[in-house]
Amino acid sequence: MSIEDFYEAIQPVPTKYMKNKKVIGSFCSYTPEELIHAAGLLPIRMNGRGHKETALGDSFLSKFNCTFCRTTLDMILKNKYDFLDGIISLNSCDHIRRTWDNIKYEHPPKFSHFLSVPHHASPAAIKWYTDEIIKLKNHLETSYNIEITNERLKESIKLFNKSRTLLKSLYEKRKESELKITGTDAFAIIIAGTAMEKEIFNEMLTRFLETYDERPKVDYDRRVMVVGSLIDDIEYIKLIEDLGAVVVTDAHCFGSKYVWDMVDETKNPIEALSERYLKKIPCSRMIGKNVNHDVRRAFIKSMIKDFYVDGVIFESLKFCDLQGGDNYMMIRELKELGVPTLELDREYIISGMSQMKTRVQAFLEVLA
Amino acid sequence: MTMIEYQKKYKLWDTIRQYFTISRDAMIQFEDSPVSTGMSFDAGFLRTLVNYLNALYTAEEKGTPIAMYNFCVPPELFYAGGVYPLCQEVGSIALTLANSTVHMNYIDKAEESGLQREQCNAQKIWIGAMLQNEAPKPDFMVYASQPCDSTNILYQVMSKFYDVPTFTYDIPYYHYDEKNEFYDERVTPYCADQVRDIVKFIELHGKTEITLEKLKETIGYSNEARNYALETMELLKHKPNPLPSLAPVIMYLTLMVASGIPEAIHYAKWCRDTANDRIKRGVGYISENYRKKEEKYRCFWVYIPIFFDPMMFTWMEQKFQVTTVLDMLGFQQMQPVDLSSEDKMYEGLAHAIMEMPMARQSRGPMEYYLDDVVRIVKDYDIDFCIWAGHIGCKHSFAIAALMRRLIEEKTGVPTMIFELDSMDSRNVNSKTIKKKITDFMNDIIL
Repeated sequence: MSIEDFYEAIQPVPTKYMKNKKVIGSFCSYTPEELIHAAGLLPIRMNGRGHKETALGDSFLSKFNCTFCRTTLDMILKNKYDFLDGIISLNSCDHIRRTWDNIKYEHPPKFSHFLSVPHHASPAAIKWYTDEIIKLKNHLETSYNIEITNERLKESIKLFNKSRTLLKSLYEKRKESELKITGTDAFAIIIAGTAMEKEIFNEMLTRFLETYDERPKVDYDRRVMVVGSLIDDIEYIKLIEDLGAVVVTDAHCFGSKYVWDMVDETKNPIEALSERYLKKIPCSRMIGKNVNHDVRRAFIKSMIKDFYVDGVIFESLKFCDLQGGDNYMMIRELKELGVPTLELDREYIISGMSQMKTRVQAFLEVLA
Repeated sequence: MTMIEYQKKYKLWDTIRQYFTISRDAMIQFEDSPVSTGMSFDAGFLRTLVNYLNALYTAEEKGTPIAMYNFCVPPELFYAGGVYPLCQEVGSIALTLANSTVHMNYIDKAEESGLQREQCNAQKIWIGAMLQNEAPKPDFMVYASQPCDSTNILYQVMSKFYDVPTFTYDIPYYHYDEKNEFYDERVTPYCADQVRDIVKFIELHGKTEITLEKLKETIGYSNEARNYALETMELLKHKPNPLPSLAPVIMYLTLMVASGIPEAIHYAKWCRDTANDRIKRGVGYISENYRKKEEKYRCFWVYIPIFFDPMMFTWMEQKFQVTTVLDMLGFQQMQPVDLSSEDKMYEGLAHAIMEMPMARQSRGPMEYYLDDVVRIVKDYDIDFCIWAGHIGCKHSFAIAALMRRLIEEKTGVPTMIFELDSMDSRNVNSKTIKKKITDFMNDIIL
């Protein structure tokens, strides 16, 4: 299995992997994709890869809204997402929540559903989200004339857990000092998993892992971790690696925060989904007792230790209040622990690369 | 994170106290003046605010626990526990209103420390003061997840800096009201249970007991104030507007700090009585306050007022004979809480949290906001809307363009949109804003 096959899956939408099934786009890693899969549909993460404009999106959203939302709205309004059968949105953050308000009025998809995600993971919040998932299940069943049985859902959960297990074993290999994969390639694989059928993806990744040891050794001089909110463009990782470092791990919603936690296969499947999605490594929107900044910090600290990280690069989409604030705290805390950090504000559409390159280069020199 | 050593003297609080004490002393002589003298607002508001500011020092002296909360949490809960209710936003807003440069210094300090320029100054001012050891320190904190990301994350920051027990309250997306298209029957019990938990949390960390009787008493005061506020909302429908444009937002600030004590009642009652008086005499505020002028146009200020220049409303009254009948923060819709049972009280408080101005409009889908604007434009016979988009409020800016179109489609009324930072004139200053409003008035309205 060649790495290029994964790169095919992360081309601008719709890719060749989105042709066989009805496709449902979702805006956030808190969407229980297993349920969409169990309805016989293909869940993909909304993205703006390859799209270079925001003009039409800008006429609705403001310049103070993040460029991920402005890009995807631009694409939707320009009919580039018309291949989707539906969109699931959530109250993940103010930008996504309001992007959905605009989509609803300006370009409503055939199927649409909104999930109200609690900011807690208390028993009451888990019950709330269980009900939300049941509402989505009912909506999918009536809209697509299909029964999502517990058996079907359990099968989907198993499939998605398998995907997580495979991806985690890829992460495991990146703990080693002798690396056979760059962060860029690893990231391409992870993103591919958000944009294609999991059956095919698991098959491809299994074969890739089987031949992993045969891959040539990666030369690098520093091991870096990338932390942020929404990163789905390998170019940002490539920029770091072109300067001699290797990105060995991450903490963002297209990376480990998407991959890390399993759905309990022994429990009622819907309750298990609710629990997994609310209790996973939390987004900075989460403020519950067991899903808050302390949990995020503990996760990042364990990553730094386990992956032998030399320095952490914090990437934040401009105008992302949540990630900006979380980075602010995290950077101070890591500094107190003596962990070198760099904060990069960035736009979703790649820009200012030379300036970013200079800053990363300086940071890597500090690490040296 | 490194603990900050806090001083006893707090520059942030002292600056506010000094400014508003002088204002109060200047106004107090007019306190019993007849309405026909055209008072912009009653000195009772200043007295309430100064008492509130002074009470923090008294609390410290007596060892009364101090609870910091965000503007979506009802202060009645803290008053019922005998805990000092420190509303962070009141501190930041009042400091901005005090028209000094102190708040700008705090904004700069917060940004120098790494916070983003576009994050909301309603919290950054306080954080800047914290970093300078110039802000009061609470014993515990209570804050809600909504109405915005900025509140959510910057309260996480403050909680980390203060390193005090913190209660977080989750406001859901859906609506508690059966008549609303986004109604969800789970909302009321989900929220009421959390209000119960807030009470337990205050009892634990405030080392106090909140009896039902005490809670009834404090809610009783806010109920009375809310009734006057609701009556005032009705009276504002009269043409010409019987109250000054600043009256609703001042009522909002009063209720933010005094809901739960008798002082909350005073200003709301003054608004009700003053409006009634003018309506009975057939006069409006403009004609009574500015010679030979009448109300010509009625404006709805769709978002938060300009805190660095609250007199913008007054300038509009003078320059264009425009009354800003309401602004978003001044639109009070909190219903009195049913005191007939414990359960009803908690449910009522849960609803009050969702009805707090801004939380009411911004916590869920755009329709919550749109419905309010359309209703206000129609019920209050509004001629035009002004949307002064505060850069900290990404959720608001993101729907401004769409809402402008929908407001026009549903009511025929135009909306002017411009950006500013409501707490920092260095972004867009008063002169520029006045020029924009003048152009809008000349090109579209006049």
